[in-house]
Amino acid sequence: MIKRILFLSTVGLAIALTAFTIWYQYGITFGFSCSGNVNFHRESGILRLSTKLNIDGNSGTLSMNGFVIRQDGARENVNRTVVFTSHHAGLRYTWISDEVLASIDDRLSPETASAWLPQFYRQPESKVELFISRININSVMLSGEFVPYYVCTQRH
Amino acid sequence: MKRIYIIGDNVKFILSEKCLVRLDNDTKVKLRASAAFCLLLMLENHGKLVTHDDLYKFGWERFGMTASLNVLHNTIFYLRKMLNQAGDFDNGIIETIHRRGFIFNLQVAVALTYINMDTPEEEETIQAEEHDQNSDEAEDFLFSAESEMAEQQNSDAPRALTGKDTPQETRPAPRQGDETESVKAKSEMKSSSETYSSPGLIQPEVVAINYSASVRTSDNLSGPAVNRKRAVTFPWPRYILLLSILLVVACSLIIFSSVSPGNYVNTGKLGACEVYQNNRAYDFKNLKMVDYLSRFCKEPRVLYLTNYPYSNKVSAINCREKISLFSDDICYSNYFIYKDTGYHHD
Repeated sequence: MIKRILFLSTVGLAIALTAFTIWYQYGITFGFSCSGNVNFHRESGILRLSTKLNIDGNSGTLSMNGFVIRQDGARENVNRTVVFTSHHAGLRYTWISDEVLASIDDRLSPETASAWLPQFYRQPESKVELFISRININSVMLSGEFVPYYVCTQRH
Repeated sequence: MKRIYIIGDNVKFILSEKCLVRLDNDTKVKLRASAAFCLLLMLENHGKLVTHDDLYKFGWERFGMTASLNVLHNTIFYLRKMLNQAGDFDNGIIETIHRRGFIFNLQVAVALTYINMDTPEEEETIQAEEHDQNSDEAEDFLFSAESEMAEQQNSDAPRALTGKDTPQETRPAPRQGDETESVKAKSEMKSSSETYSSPGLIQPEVVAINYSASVRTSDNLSGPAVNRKRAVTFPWPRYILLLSILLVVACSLIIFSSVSPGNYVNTGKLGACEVYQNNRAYDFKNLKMVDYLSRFCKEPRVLYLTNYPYSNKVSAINCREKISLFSDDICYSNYFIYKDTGYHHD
Protein backbone atom coordinates (compact mmCIF):
# COMPACT_ATOMS: atom_id res chain seq x y z
CA MET A 1 0.00 0.00 0.00
CA ILE A 2 2.79 2.40 0.95
CA LYS A 3 4.65 1.47 -2.23
CA ARG A 4 1.54 2.20 -4.26
CA ILE A 5 1.14 5.60 -2.60
CA LEU A 6 4.82 6.39 -3.19
CA PHE A 7 4.50 5.27 -6.79
CA LEU A 8 1.44 7.44 -7.45
CA SER A 9 3.01 10.40 -5.64
CA THR A 10 6.15 10.17 -7.75
CA VAL A 11 4.20 9.91 -10.98
CA GLY A 12 1.96 12.80 -9.92
CA LEU A 13 4.96 14.92 -9.00
CA ALA A 14 6.60 14.17 -12.35
CA ILE A 15 3.47 15.15 -14.29
CA ALA A 16 3.02 18.36 -12.29
CA LEU A 17 6.67 19.31 -12.57
CA THR A 18 6.71 18.64 -16.32
CA ALA A 19 3.64 20.83 -16.82
CA PHE A 20 5.24 23.54 -14.69
CA THR A 21 8.51 23.32 -16.66
CA ILE A 22 6.68 23.68 -19.98
CA TRP A 23 4.86 26.72 -18.63
CA TYR A 24 8.09 28.11 -17.20
CA GLN A 25 9.99 27.72 -20.47
CA TYR A 26 7.33 28.67 -22.98
CA GLY A 27 4.73 30.61 -20.99
CA ILE A 28 6.19 33.97 -22.04
CA THR A 29 5.30 33.31 -25.66
CA PHE A 30 1.62 32.96 -24.81
CA GLY A 31 1.35 36.14 -22.81
CA PHE A 32 3.12 38.13 -20.20
CA SER A 33 2.62 41.37 -18.37
CA CYS A 34 5.26 43.10 -16.28
CA SER A 35 6.77 46.36 -15.22
CA GLY A 36 10.26 47.61 -14.48
CA ASN A 37 12.34 50.68 -13.78
CA VAL A 38 15.56 51.53 -15.55
CA ASN A 39 18.11 54.33 -15.80
CA PHE A 40 20.17 54.71 -18.95
CA HIS A 41 23.38 56.56 -18.20
CA ARG A 42 25.43 58.30 -20.85
CA GLU A 43 28.03 61.01 -20.57
CA SER A 44 25.51 63.45 -22.02
CA GLY A 45 22.83 62.72 -19.41
CA ILE A 46 20.48 60.17 -17.88
CA LEU A 47 17.23 58.71 -19.15
CA ARG A 48 15.00 57.50 -16.30
CA LEU A 49 12.10 55.31 -17.31
CA SER A 50 9.29 53.36 -15.75
CA THR A 51 7.97 50.83 -18.20
CA LYS A 52 5.00 48.55 -18.51
CA LEU A 53 5.14 45.71 -20.97
CA ASN A 54 2.22 43.63 -22.08
CA ILE A 55 2.71 40.83 -24.59
CA ASP A 56 -0.25 38.80 -25.72
CA GLY A 57 0.81 36.23 -28.29
CA ASN A 58 1.95 38.11 -31.38
CA SER A 59 1.06 41.59 -30.28
CA GLY A 60 1.91 43.82 -27.39
CA THR A 61 2.21 47.28 -25.92
CA LEU A 62 5.08 49.00 -24.21
CA SER A 63 4.39 52.08 -22.15
CA MET A 64 7.22 54.34 -21.03
CA ASN A 65 7.05 57.14 -18.58
CA GLY A 66 10.06 59.17 -17.44
CA PHE A 67 12.43 61.91 -18.40
CA VAL A 68 15.82 62.77 -19.78
CA ILE A 69 18.12 64.93 -17.70
CA ARG A 70 20.82 66.46 -19.83
CA GLN A 71 24.26 67.35 -18.56
CA ASP A 72 23.30 71.01 -18.34
CA GLY A 73 20.33 70.12 -16.06
CA ALA A 74 17.58 70.55 -18.65
CA ARG A 75 14.81 68.03 -18.34
CA GLU A 76 12.50 66.61 -21.01
CA ASN A 77 9.57 64.34 -20.26
CA VAL A 78 8.93 61.05 -22.01
CA ASN A 79 5.45 59.59 -21.91
CA ARG A 80 4.53 57.35 -24.81
CA THR A 81 3.12 53.98 -25.69
CA VAL A 82 4.26 51.78 -28.52
CA VAL A 83 1.86 49.23 -29.96
CA PHE A 84 3.84 46.53 -31.71
CA THR A 85 3.75 43.16 -33.39
CA SER A 86 5.96 40.51 -31.90
CA HIS A 87 7.73 37.56 -33.45
CA HIS A 88 10.20 35.35 -31.75
CA ALA A 89 12.72 32.65 -32.49
CA GLY A 90 13.64 31.04 -29.21
CA LEU A 91 14.51 33.80 -26.79
CA ARG A 92 15.14 36.40 -29.50
CA TYR A 93 12.18 38.67 -30.03
CA THR A 94 11.62 40.99 -32.95
CA TRP A 95 9.17 43.78 -32.31
CA ILE A 96 7.79 45.89 -35.15
CA SER A 97 6.08 49.09 -34.10
CA ASP A 98 2.54 49.54 -35.38
CA GLU A 99 1.76 52.81 -33.61
CA VAL A 100 3.65 55.23 -31.43
CA LEU A 101 1.25 57.11 -29.20
CA ALA A 102 2.86 60.09 -27.51
CA SER A 103 1.04 61.62 -24.56
CA ILE A 104 0.40 65.36 -24.37
CA ASP A 105 3.07 65.70 -21.69
CA ASP A 106 5.66 64.00 -23.84
CA ARG A 107 8.13 66.87 -24.41
CA LEU A 108 10.98 65.07 -26.01
CA SER A 109 12.65 67.18 -28.71
CA PRO A 110 13.50 65.38 -31.95
CA GLU A 111 17.25 65.75 -31.27
CA THR A 112 17.02 64.28 -27.80
CA ALA A 113 14.66 61.57 -29.00
CA SER A 114 17.04 60.48 -31.75
CA ALA A 115 19.94 60.50 -29.30
CA TRP A 116 18.21 58.39 -26.67
CA LEU A 117 15.53 56.30 -28.31
CA PRO A 118 15.88 53.79 -31.13
CA GLN A 119 13.59 54.32 -34.09
CA PHE A 120 11.20 51.69 -32.84
CA TYR A 121 10.10 54.08 -30.04
CA ARG A 122 9.71 56.99 -32.40
CA GLN A 123 8.21 55.83 -35.71
CA PRO A 124 5.80 53.11 -36.81
CA GLU A 125 7.05 50.28 -39.01
CA SER A 126 10.38 50.23 -37.22
CA LYS A 127 11.82 47.23 -35.53
CA VAL A 128 13.93 46.40 -32.55
CA GLU A 129 15.47 43.12 -31.52
CA LEU A 130 16.04 41.96 -27.99
CA PHE A 131 16.26 38.87 -25.86
CA ILE A 132 13.67 38.05 -23.25
CA SER A 133 14.50 35.28 -20.82
CA ARG A 134 12.72 34.19 -17.71
CA ILE A 135 14.82 34.48 -14.58
CA ASN A 136 12.28 33.15 -12.12
CA ILE A 137 8.56 32.65 -11.66
CA ASN A 138 7.81 36.37 -11.41
CA SER A 139 10.36 38.07 -13.61
CA VAL A 140 11.91 38.23 -17.04
CA MET A 141 15.09 39.92 -18.12
CA LEU A 142 15.29 42.05 -21.26
CA SER A 143 18.71 42.17 -22.83
CA GLY A 144 20.29 43.77 -25.85
CA GLU A 145 23.34 41.74 -26.73
CA PHE A 146 24.81 40.21 -23.63
CA VAL A 147 24.25 42.96 -21.12
CA PRO A 148 20.75 43.04 -19.64
CA TYR A 149 18.71 46.22 -19.94
CA TYR A 150 16.46 45.61 -17.00
CA VAL A 151 14.42 43.20 -14.93
CA CYS A 152 10.72 43.25 -15.65
CA THR A 153 8.56 41.84 -12.88
CA GLN A 154 5.01 40.65 -12.86
CA ARG A 155 2.99 42.41 -10.17
CA HIS A 156 0.10 40.49 -8.67
CA MET B 1 -10.24 -23.17 -0.06
CA LYS B 2 -6.52 -23.27 0.77
CA ARG B 3 -4.10 -25.51 -1.10
CA ILE B 4 -1.54 -27.10 1.19
CA TYR B 5 1.27 -29.51 0.38
CA ILE B 6 2.45 -31.89 3.06
CA ILE B 7 6.14 -32.59 2.47
CA GLY B 8 7.45 -35.71 4.20
CA ASP B 9 5.54 -36.09 7.39
CA ASN B 10 6.67 -33.02 9.20
CA VAL B 11 6.36 -29.93 6.98
CA LYS B 12 3.51 -28.26 5.16
CA PHE B 13 3.86 -25.71 2.39
CA ILE B 14 1.03 -23.19 2.37
CA LEU B 15 0.92 -21.80 -1.11
CA SER B 16 -1.13 -18.70 -0.48
CA GLU B 17 1.16 -17.61 2.35
CA LYS B 18 4.36 -18.75 0.65
CA CYS B 19 5.64 -20.32 3.80
CA LEU B 20 6.79 -23.64 5.19
CA VAL B 21 5.29 -24.69 8.51
CA ARG B 22 6.76 -27.34 10.77
CA LEU B 23 3.88 -29.56 11.83
CA ASP B 24 5.00 -30.47 15.33
CA ASN B 25 5.52 -26.94 16.63
CA ASP B 26 3.96 -24.71 13.95
CA THR B 27 7.23 -22.89 13.28
CA LYS B 28 6.83 -20.80 10.13
CA VAL B 29 9.54 -20.19 7.58
CA LYS B 30 8.63 -17.52 5.07
CA LEU B 31 9.88 -18.05 1.51
CA ARG B 32 10.87 -15.53 -1.12
CA ALA B 33 8.29 -15.26 -3.88
CA SER B 34 10.52 -16.68 -6.62
CA ALA B 35 11.60 -19.56 -4.37
CA ALA B 36 7.99 -20.36 -3.53
CA PHE B 37 7.07 -20.53 -7.22
CA CYS B 38 10.04 -22.78 -7.96
CA LEU B 39 9.07 -25.08 -5.09
CA LEU B 40 5.47 -25.16 -6.28
CA LEU B 41 6.53 -26.15 -9.79
CA MET B 42 8.76 -28.92 -8.49
CA LEU B 43 6.07 -30.24 -6.15
CA GLU B 44 3.58 -30.34 -8.99
CA ASN B 45 6.08 -32.33 -11.01
CA HIS B 46 7.09 -34.51 -8.10
CA GLY B 47 9.77 -37.00 -9.18
CA LYS B 48 9.98 -35.52 -12.66
CA LEU B 49 12.66 -33.34 -14.18
CA VAL B 50 11.83 -29.65 -14.06
CA THR B 51 14.04 -27.90 -16.56
CA HIS B 52 15.86 -24.62 -16.06
CA ASP B 53 13.73 -22.97 -18.70
CA ASP B 54 10.50 -23.99 -16.98
CA LEU B 55 11.77 -22.57 -13.71
CA TYR B 56 12.85 -19.33 -15.35
CA LYS B 57 9.45 -18.93 -16.93
CA PHE B 58 7.44 -19.88 -13.89
CA GLY B 59 9.54 -18.05 -11.31
CA TRP B 60 10.53 -14.87 -13.13
CA GLU B 61 9.76 -14.36 -16.78
CA ARG B 62 5.99 -14.31 -16.49
CA PHE B 63 6.46 -11.29 -14.22
CA GLY B 64 8.61 -9.56 -16.80
CA MET B 65 11.81 -10.40 -14.93
CA THR B 66 14.84 -12.23 -16.19
CA ALA B 67 17.06 -14.41 -14.06
CA SER B 68 20.54 -15.77 -14.61
CA LEU B 69 21.65 -19.31 -13.97
CA ASN B 70 23.39 -18.12 -10.81
CA VAL B 71 20.16 -16.66 -9.50
CA LEU B 72 18.35 -19.91 -10.23
CA HIS B 73 20.98 -22.00 -8.45
CA ASN B 74 20.99 -19.61 -5.52
CA THR B 75 17.22 -19.89 -5.31
CA ILE B 76 17.46 -23.68 -5.21
CA PHE B 77 20.23 -23.44 -2.61
CA TYR B 78 18.01 -21.13 -0.59
CA LEU B 79 15.08 -23.57 -0.93
CA ARG B 80 17.22 -26.46 0.34
CA LYS B 81 18.31 -24.33 3.26
CA MET B 82 14.74 -23.36 4.14
CA LEU B 83 13.54 -26.98 3.80
CA ASN B 84 16.36 -28.04 6.05
CA GLN B 85 15.47 -25.35 8.53
CA ALA B 86 11.79 -26.19 8.51
CA GLY B 87 11.91 -29.98 8.30
CA ASP B 88 15.53 -31.10 8.73
CA PHE B 89 15.65 -32.35 5.16
CA ASP B 90 19.05 -32.91 3.65
CA ASN B 91 20.24 -31.36 0.38
CA GLY B 92 19.17 -34.42 -1.56
CA ILE B 93 15.53 -33.36 -1.28
CA ILE B 94 16.10 -31.41 -4.47
CA GLU B 95 18.35 -33.25 -6.87
CA THR B 96 20.42 -31.34 -9.40
CA ILE B 97 20.53 -32.70 -12.92
CA HIS B 98 23.60 -31.00 -14.29
CA ARG B 99 22.90 -28.54 -17.13
CA ARG B 100 19.28 -29.64 -17.32
CA GLY B 101 17.24 -28.94 -14.23
CA PHE B 102 16.10 -30.23 -10.86
CA ILE B 103 13.98 -33.05 -9.47
CA PHE B 104 12.07 -33.02 -6.22
CA ASN B 105 13.13 -36.31 -4.62
CA LEU B 106 10.52 -38.99 -5.22
CA GLN B 107 11.40 -40.71 -1.94
CA VAL B 108 10.09 -37.75 0.00
CA ALA B 109 6.34 -38.09 0.15
CA VAL B 110 4.28 -35.15 -1.03
CA ALA B 111 0.55 -34.88 -0.50
CA LEU B 112 -1.79 -32.19 -1.65
CA THR B 113 -4.68 -31.25 0.59
CA TYR B 114 -7.31 -28.61 0.62
CA ILE B 115 -8.70 -26.93 3.66
CA ASN B 116 -12.38 -26.32 3.33
CA MET B 117 -13.84 -23.38 5.16
CA ASP B 118 -16.73 -23.97 7.51
CA THR B 119 -19.03 -21.32 6.15
CA PRO B 120 -19.33 -19.62 2.80
CA GLU B 121 -18.80 -16.27 4.51
CA GLU B 122 -15.57 -17.46 6.02
CA GLU B 123 -14.40 -18.86 2.71
CA GLU B 124 -15.24 -15.61 1.04
CA THR B 125 -13.26 -13.75 3.66
CA ILE B 126 -10.28 -16.03 3.22
CA GLN B 127 -10.47 -15.69 -0.56
CA ALA B 128 -10.57 -11.93 -0.28
CA GLU B 129 -7.56 -12.06 2.01
CA GLU B 130 -5.76 -14.32 -0.42
CA HIS B 131 -6.64 -12.02 -3.26
CA ASP B 132 -5.29 -8.99 -1.43
CA GLN B 133 -2.22 -10.86 -0.37
CA ASN B 134 -1.62 -12.21 -3.83
CA SER B 135 -1.96 -8.89 -5.56
CA ASP B 136 0.25 -7.23 -2.98
CA GLU B 137 2.82 -9.96 -3.23
CA ALA B 138 2.80 -9.84 -7.00
CA GLU B 139 3.33 -6.13 -6.85
CA ASP B 140 6.01 -6.53 -4.20
CA PHE B 141 7.60 -9.12 -6.41
CA LEU B 142 7.75 -6.74 -9.30
CA PHE B 143 9.18 -3.98 -7.16
CA SER B 144 11.67 -6.11 -5.29
CA ALA B 145 12.75 -8.65 -7.86
CA GLU B 146 15.93 -6.84 -8.78
CA SER B 147 17.02 -6.27 -5.23
CA GLU B 148 16.19 -9.88 -4.41
CA MET B 149 18.34 -11.09 -7.28
CA ALA B 150 21.16 -8.79 -6.22
CA GLU B 151 20.80 -10.02 -2.66
CA GLN B 152 20.88 -13.62 -3.78
CA GLN B 153 23.92 -13.06 -5.93
CA ASN B 154 25.76 -11.24 -3.18
CA SER B 155 24.87 -13.18 -0.07
CA ASP B 156 24.64 -16.82 -0.98
CA ALA B 157 26.75 -17.00 -4.06
CA PRO B 158 30.00 -18.37 -2.58
CA ARG B 159 28.28 -21.21 -0.74
CA ALA B 160 25.85 -21.94 -3.51
CA LEU B 161 28.59 -22.35 -6.03
CA THR B 162 30.20 -25.34 -4.35
CA GLY B 163 29.88 -29.12 -4.57
CA LYS B 164 27.79 -30.77 -7.15
CA ASP B 165 25.69 -27.67 -7.56
CA THR B 166 28.62 -25.65 -8.78
CA PRO B 167 27.22 -23.90 -11.79
CA GLN B 168 30.42 -23.38 -13.75
CA GLU B 169 28.23 -23.45 -16.77
CA THR B 170 26.76 -20.19 -17.80
CA ARG B 171 23.27 -19.89 -19.02
CA PRO B 172 23.41 -20.69 -22.72
CA ALA B 173 22.73 -17.85 -25.08
CA PRO B 174 19.03 -17.83 -25.74
CA ARG B 175 18.05 -19.60 -28.87
CA GLN B 176 15.60 -17.98 -31.17
CA GLY B 177 12.83 -20.08 -29.73
CA ASP B 178 13.78 -19.06 -26.21
CA GLU B 179 13.70 -15.44 -27.15
CA THR B 180 10.29 -15.90 -28.60
CA GLU B 181 9.11 -17.57 -25.44
CA SER B 182 10.65 -14.85 -23.33
CA VAL B 183 8.94 -12.20 -25.35
CA LYS B 184 5.76 -14.21 -25.12
CA ALA B 185 6.13 -14.47 -21.39
CA LYS B 186 6.51 -10.72 -21.17
CA SER B 187 3.62 -10.09 -23.50
CA GLU B 188 1.49 -12.25 -21.27
CA MET B 189 1.91 -9.63 -18.61
CA LYS B 190 0.11 -7.17 -20.82
CA SER B 191 -2.48 -9.59 -22.04
CA SER B 192 -5.77 -9.47 -20.29
CA SER B 193 -6.97 -12.88 -21.28
CA GLU B 194 -4.02 -15.25 -21.53
CA THR B 195 -2.24 -16.93 -18.71
CA TYR B 196 1.02 -18.82 -18.70
CA SER B 197 0.31 -22.39 -19.73
CA SER B 198 3.38 -24.32 -20.72
CA PRO B 199 2.86 -28.14 -20.92
CA GLY B 200 3.37 -29.82 -17.59
CA LEU B 201 3.03 -26.60 -15.65
CA ILE B 202 0.08 -25.68 -13.59
CA GLN B 203 -1.59 -22.34 -13.63
CA PRO B 204 0.18 -20.09 -11.16
CA GLU B 205 -1.44 -19.42 -7.86
CA VAL B 206 -0.36 -15.83 -7.99
CA VAL B 207 -0.65 -14.11 -11.32
CA ALA B 208 0.68 -10.58 -11.35
CA ILE B 209 -1.44 -9.15 -14.10
CA ASN B 210 -4.39 -11.14 -15.16
CA TYR B 211 -7.82 -9.63 -15.40
CA SER B 212 -9.65 -12.82 -16.25
CA ALA B 213 -12.20 -13.81 -13.69
CA SER B 214 -11.74 -17.56 -13.75
CA VAL B 215 -8.57 -19.59 -13.50
CA ARG B 216 -8.93 -23.35 -13.96
CA THR B 217 -6.13 -25.55 -12.75
CA SER B 218 -4.71 -28.07 -15.19
CA ASP B 219 -5.50 -31.76 -15.27
CA ASN B 220 -2.68 -32.78 -13.01
CA LEU B 221 -4.43 -31.04 -10.16
CA SER B 222 -7.46 -32.58 -8.63
CA GLY B 223 -8.77 -29.40 -7.14
CA PRO B 224 -11.81 -27.51 -8.33
CA ALA B 225 -11.74 -24.41 -10.45
CA VAL B 226 -11.35 -21.36 -8.30
CA ASN B 227 -13.00 -18.08 -9.12
CA ARG B 228 -10.88 -15.11 -8.32
CA LYS B 229 -11.08 -11.39 -8.81
CA ARG B 230 -7.69 -10.31 -10.01
CA ALA B 231 -6.09 -7.07 -8.95
CA VAL B 232 -5.60 -4.48 -11.64
CA THR B 233 -1.98 -3.50 -11.24
CA PHE B 234 -0.04 -0.91 -13.15
CA PRO B 235 1.74 -2.00 -16.30
CA TRP B 236 5.50 -1.87 -15.93
CA PRO B 237 5.49 0.19 -12.76
CA ARG B 238 9.23 0.13 -12.53
CA TYR B 239 9.63 1.77 -15.92
CA ILE B 240 7.02 4.38 -15.19
CA LEU B 241 8.63 5.05 -11.83
CA LEU B 242 12.05 5.35 -13.43
CA LEU B 243 10.72 7.67 -16.11
CA SER B 244 8.98 9.78 -13.47
CA ILE B 245 12.14 10.12 -11.42
CA LEU B 246 14.11 11.08 -14.52
CA LEU B 247 11.47 13.67 -15.43
CA VAL B 248 11.56 15.14 -11.93
CA VAL B 249 15.36 15.41 -12.04
CA ALA B 250 15.41 16.84 -15.58
CA CYS B 251 12.69 19.40 -14.86
CA SER B 252 14.36 20.47 -11.63
CA LEU B 253 17.65 20.95 -13.47
CA ILE B 254 15.98 22.96 -16.24
CA ILE B 255 14.15 25.21 -13.80
CA PHE B 256 16.98 25.82 -11.37
CA SER B 257 19.61 26.31 -14.06
CA SER B 258 17.44 28.96 -15.68
CA VAL B 259 17.24 31.11 -12.57
CA SER B 260 19.44 33.64 -14.26
CA PRO B 261 21.63 35.10 -11.52
CA GLY B 262 22.49 31.53 -10.62
CA ASN B 263 25.61 31.81 -12.78
CA TYR B 264 26.70 35.03 -11.11
CA VAL B 265 29.29 34.78 -8.39
CA ASN B 266 29.71 36.83 -5.27
CA THR B 267 32.71 39.11 -5.75
CA GLY B 268 32.58 41.17 -2.59
CA LYS B 269 30.77 44.04 -0.98
CA LEU B 270 30.07 47.56 -2.06
CA GLY B 271 28.89 49.44 1.03
CA ALA B 272 26.08 47.31 2.40
CA CYS B 273 25.44 45.65 -0.97
CA GLU B 274 26.49 42.12 -1.83
CA VAL B 275 27.93 42.27 -5.35
CA TYR B 276 27.40 39.44 -7.82
CA GLN B 277 29.14 39.46 -11.21
CA ASN B 278 29.13 37.39 -14.34
CA ASN B 279 32.15 35.39 -15.44
CA ARG B 280 34.94 37.27 -17.21
CA ALA B 281 33.73 40.56 -15.79
CA TYR B 282 36.04 43.39 -14.78
CA ASP B 283 36.55 43.81 -11.06
CA PHE B 284 33.70 46.07 -10.03
CA LYS B 285 36.03 48.24 -7.92
CA ASN B 286 37.70 49.46 -11.11
CA LEU B 287 34.47 50.45 -12.82
CA LYS B 288 33.63 54.12 -13.19
CA MET B 289 30.13 54.02 -11.82
CA VAL B 290 31.04 52.50 -8.46
CA ASP B 291 30.76 55.85 -6.72
CA TYR B 292 27.33 56.41 -8.22
CA LEU B 293 26.13 52.92 -7.21
CA SER B 294 27.49 53.15 -3.68
CA ARG B 295 24.87 55.82 -3.01
CA PHE B 296 22.21 53.09 -3.27
CA CYS B 297 24.08 50.69 -1.04
CA LYS B 298 23.47 52.24 2.33
CA GLU B 299 21.02 49.46 3.15
CA PRO B 300 21.67 45.74 2.65
CA ARG B 301 20.88 44.97 -0.97
CA VAL B 302 22.04 42.73 -3.75
CA LEU B 303 23.78 44.22 -6.77
CA TYR B 304 24.05 42.24 -10.00
CA LEU B 305 26.76 43.69 -12.23
CA THR B 306 27.19 42.57 -15.83
CA ASN B 307 29.97 43.64 -18.15
CA TYR B 308 32.19 42.01 -20.71
CA PRO B 309 35.65 42.77 -22.07
CA TYR B 310 35.63 45.03 -25.15
CA SER B 311 32.11 46.17 -24.35
CA ASN B 312 31.37 49.75 -23.33
CA LYS B 313 28.14 48.81 -21.61
CA VAL B 314 27.59 47.88 -18.00
CA SER B 315 24.38 46.74 -16.37
CA ALA B 316 23.83 47.19 -12.65
CA ILE B 317 20.63 45.69 -11.26
CA ASN B 318 20.01 46.60 -7.67
CA CYS B 319 17.53 44.31 -5.89
CA ARG B 320 16.14 44.30 -2.40
CA GLU B 321 16.91 40.59 -2.03
CA LYS B 322 18.74 37.88 -3.90
CA ILE B 323 16.88 36.62 -6.93
CA SER B 324 15.70 33.07 -6.43
CA LEU B 325 13.08 30.89 -8.06
CA PHE B 326 10.21 32.22 -5.98
CA SER B 327 11.49 35.68 -5.02
CA ASP B 328 9.25 38.66 -5.56
CA ASP B 329 11.83 40.86 -7.21
CA ILE B 330 11.91 44.52 -6.33
CA CYS B 331 14.75 45.72 -8.49
CA TYR B 332 16.03 48.94 -10.00
CA SER B 333 18.13 48.69 -13.13
CA ASN B 334 20.93 50.95 -14.34
CA TYR B 335 22.42 50.69 -17.78
CA PHE B 336 25.68 52.56 -18.35
CA ILE B 337 27.02 53.42 -21.79
CA TYR B 338 30.63 54.62 -21.70
CA LYS B 339 32.67 56.53 -24.28
CA ASP B 340 29.54 58.12 -25.64
CA THR B 341 30.47 59.71 -28.97
CA GLY B 342 27.12 61.32 -29.58
CA TYR B 343 25.78 58.26 -31.37
CA HIS B 344 22.27 58.75 -32.65
CA HIS B 345 19.76 55.93 -33.13
CA ASP B 346 19.18 56.62 -36.82
